[in-house]
Amino acid sequence: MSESESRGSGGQTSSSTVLAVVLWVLVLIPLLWGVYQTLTGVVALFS
Amino acid sequence: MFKNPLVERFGTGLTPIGIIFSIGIVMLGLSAAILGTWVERAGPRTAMFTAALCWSGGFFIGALGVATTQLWLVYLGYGFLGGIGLGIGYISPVSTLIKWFPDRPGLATGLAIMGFGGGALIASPLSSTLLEAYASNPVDAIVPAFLTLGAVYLVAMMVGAFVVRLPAEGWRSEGWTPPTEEETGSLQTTADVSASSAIRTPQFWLLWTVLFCNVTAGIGVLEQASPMIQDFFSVEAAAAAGFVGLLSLANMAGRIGWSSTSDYIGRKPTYIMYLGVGAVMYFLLASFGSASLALFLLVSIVILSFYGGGFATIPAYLKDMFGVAQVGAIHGRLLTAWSAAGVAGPLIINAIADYQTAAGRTGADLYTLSLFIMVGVLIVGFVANLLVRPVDSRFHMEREEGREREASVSGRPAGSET
Repeated sequence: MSESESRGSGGQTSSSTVLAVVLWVLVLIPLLWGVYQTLTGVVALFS
Repeated sequence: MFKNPLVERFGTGLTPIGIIFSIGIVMLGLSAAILGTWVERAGPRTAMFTAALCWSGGFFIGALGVATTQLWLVYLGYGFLGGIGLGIGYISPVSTLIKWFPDRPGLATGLAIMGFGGGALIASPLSSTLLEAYASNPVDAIVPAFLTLGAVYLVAMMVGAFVVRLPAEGWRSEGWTPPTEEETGSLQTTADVSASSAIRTPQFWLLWTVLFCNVTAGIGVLEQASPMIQDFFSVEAAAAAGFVGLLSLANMAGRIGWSSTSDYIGRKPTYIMYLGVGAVMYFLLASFGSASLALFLLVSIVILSFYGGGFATIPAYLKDMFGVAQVGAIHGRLLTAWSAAGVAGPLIINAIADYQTAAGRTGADLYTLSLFIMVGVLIVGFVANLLVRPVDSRFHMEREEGREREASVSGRPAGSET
C-alpha cells in the first residue's frame, strides 16, 4: 500500500459522492450520540 | 472511566495506574516525531492501517494484562503500543486533508484534529455504557470492555484506512488558483522545508514553545475541572461531571471553529488571541472565578475552546511556515511539545494542589496559585508567538537541492561553509 496506490484522481464521481455521504453518516451517528450523552450530563449542571 | 476500576483491580494507587496514560502520551509524541517521515513516505493508508493495528492491539494486550493481573502488560499494551497507534493515527490524516484543502488549511486541520476531540466525546459515554452493561461491578467489566473497544476501533479505523485517498499531484479546488509570493502574507511561504531542516529553524522551536504553553495551560483547567467546580461552588459530583462534559464540547468546537477562522484572520493573530485573551481569561478565573457560576462557566468554555483551537491550528501554522511537502513529519516532531506538556502539566498542577492543601487552604484558594502560574505560562507562549518570523530561504528545499547539486559538481559536501 504505497502512497501512489492510495492516491486518487481528485475527480468527483457519483459513486464517490455516495461513499462520502455514507461515511459522513457513519461518523455523525456515533458523534451525535456522544454529543447527546454529554449534553445529558451537562443538564445536571444547570438543574 | 477506567482509572478507578483499574486501581481496584490491581489493588494499587492512582500513581501506578496514571503511569499507563503517561506512557501513552509520551509514546504518542515520540512515535509521531520518529515515524512522521515514514508516514509521509508510506502514505496515509499504510499509516492508518498500522495505527489501527497498534491502537486496537493495545486494547487486546491491555485486556490480557487486566485478566492476568499483570500491570506491565497494560503498560505495554494500552500505554506503549496504544500510544504508538495514537501518534501515527493523529498525524496521518492531517497532511492528507491539507492536500485536499489547499485553499483552506485551517479548515482541513480543524476537521482532522476535531476527530480526536470528537472521539473522546464518543469514547467516554461508550466506555461507561460498556462497564455498566458487562457486569454489576465495573472491575469485572474491564476485560470485556477493553476487548469490545479494541474490536470497534479496529473496524472503524480499517474502514478509514481503506477509503482514504491522497489527491492527484497538482490537484486544486475548483476555481482556486494558488496565491503568488506577493499575494500571500509574509508568514505564508510558497516554498517547502524538509522535516530535518525545519527542526534547525528558530521558528520550529518557537512554535514548539507556543504549543507547549497552550497545552500546559489547558491541562491546568482540564486536570482539575471536576474538583475545581466542586470547591468553587459546592456542586454535586453529577453536576461536576456535566461541567467536564461541557468543557469537552468547548474543546471540540474550538478545534473546528477557531482553526477555520484562522484561514481568514491568519495563524499568528489567532495564536495572539489564544495566548493573550487566554491569559486574561485565566486571570479572571483566578481573581473573580468564585464570584459567579455564569462567569466561571463562560471563562472556562473560552479557555477550553482555545486549548482545542491551539491543537487544531498548529498544523496549518506549520504549513504556512514550512510548506506542505513534509508538514506531517514536521507536525509529528512538534507533538513532542504535547508529550512534554502532558507529563509536566499534571505534575505541576497536582504538586501545587498538594502544597496548597498542606498549607491549609480550602475552596477556591486551592487553585489561585496554579491559575496565576498558568497566566505566566501563557505569557511565555504569547511572546514566543510574537517572535515568529518567516523562515530563512536557505532552509527551503529547492535551495538545499541546489546546494547538493553544487556540492556534487564541486566535490564539496552539501552544507559545508566556504
